[in-house]
Amino acid sequence: MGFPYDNGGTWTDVSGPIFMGAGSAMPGIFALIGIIICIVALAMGQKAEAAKYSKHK
Amino acid sequence: MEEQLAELAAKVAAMEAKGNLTNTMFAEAYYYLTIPLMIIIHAGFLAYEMGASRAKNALSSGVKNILAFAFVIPAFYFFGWWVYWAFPTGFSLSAGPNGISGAEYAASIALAWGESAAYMGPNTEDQIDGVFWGAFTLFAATTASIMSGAVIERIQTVGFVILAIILGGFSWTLAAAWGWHADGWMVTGWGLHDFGAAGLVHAVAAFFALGVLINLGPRIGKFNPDGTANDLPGHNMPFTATGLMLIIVGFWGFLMACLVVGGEAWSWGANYTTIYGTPTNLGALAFNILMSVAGGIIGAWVMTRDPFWMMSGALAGIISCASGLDIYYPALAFIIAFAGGVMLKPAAGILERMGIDDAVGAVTVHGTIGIFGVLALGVFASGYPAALGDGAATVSFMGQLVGSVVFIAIGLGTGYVSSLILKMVGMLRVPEAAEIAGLDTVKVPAQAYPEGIPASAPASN
Repeated sequence: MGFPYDNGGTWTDVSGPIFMGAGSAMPGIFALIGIIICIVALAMGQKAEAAKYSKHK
Repeated sequence: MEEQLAELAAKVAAMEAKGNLTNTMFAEAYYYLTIPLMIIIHAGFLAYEMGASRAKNALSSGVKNILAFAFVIPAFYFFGWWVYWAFPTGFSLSAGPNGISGAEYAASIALAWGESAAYMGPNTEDQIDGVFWGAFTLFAATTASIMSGAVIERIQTVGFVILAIILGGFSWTLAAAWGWHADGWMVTGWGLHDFGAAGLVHAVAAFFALGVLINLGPRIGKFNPDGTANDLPGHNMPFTATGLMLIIVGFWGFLMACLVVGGEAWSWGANYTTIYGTPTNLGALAFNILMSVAGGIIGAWVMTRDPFWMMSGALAGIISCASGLDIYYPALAFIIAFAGGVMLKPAAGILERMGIDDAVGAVTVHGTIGIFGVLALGVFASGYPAALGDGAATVSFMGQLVGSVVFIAIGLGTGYVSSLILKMVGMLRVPEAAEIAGLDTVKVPAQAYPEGIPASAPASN
């Protein structure tokens, strides 16, 4: 991704977004991965929970 | 002379720039500090609900709270913040009179992708969106914690987390968009005033919980065949009472975050205001929160003598007055809070006689009392301008009633429907055998009290 400002690699006079991937498609990709992590974590949690309950029916 | 004037003007400009920067940093720090204060609410709910659970369920109740907190945060980042800015004018998603709402505006500032990502991450030119978002995220997480206590000891963990995401990411946010946002249709059209969120946080979350409880059903052993109720006491009353006190501490941060700091481009003026732009200050909160806490405790003490209900009374006192903490006279806040404390236990009894097993009285404390608070403001503040500016709608009992009905409908409707779907797919309630065995034994890889709770003898001299 690299430094989002094309100013010779210095913080001098930098103003605006400073996060990694600023101005590119990366924030959206990170967000998508984050959403997928949440969904997969819930799915795995549900599977594990259901397995526990199956022993107590 | 001209040189001296130019030099003076330059000095004034420099001083003004420094003053503006100081004000901006103060505003940023103000909201930032409300975040850890509100996290204390969650520490309180954690202790409260673990203490209110029987020992066999203590940790599983805590796991629920921890996960609700963890999942509501990204949910609010990924879509909840967008809902708040997109929906104020209703389901049309159009822009409101202040021009700070609607789908287009929301997409420009509140999505984690595209151009708006600039406002959803570190930005040297934006010192406020992050802390605003943080404070609202904690409001969202609080709604999930309110629902959490009602459903302990028999709800499935993942099913509960899904409900927390719906409540924290959508249900309360929709209510806030309609009843808190300056473009909210209930504010501009009906003069709704709910400064401290008695309705749009407390009542929405509580009625969401009621919708879930209808589908979830009572704990095994709560009701006898003839319909009479049994007491299922939690295993640690001191833990519960301490948790309630922590919740009250945290609500100082919650209510602090309901103020808008002055002097910024996004502020309503040079001084503190409410979220509606109407005047108030921290002094108003100090007067009225303390008096309402006291009134609520005394009211509950008069009726019950029970420390659980006395501490719940403190919370009920705050919630009774939350809608008007900005404008109540402190003695009036005390009276309203006292009434809230008095009605607490009887209102909980009515719910129990209807066959609803609300394990911690959340529906009563936050729902019944929250609606009482919204309506009380309609009685006492009728005629007050509800928002800033000429021609703003005024507070009225009818406006507060409309707001109350909408809050109940949003909470109850979304809670009932989402929990019904979970019930249909088998993700709502734990199996009977698991409930009887205790949820810690069934699914928590840790013990709450591995050495029991031994009574140790005092050391000898």
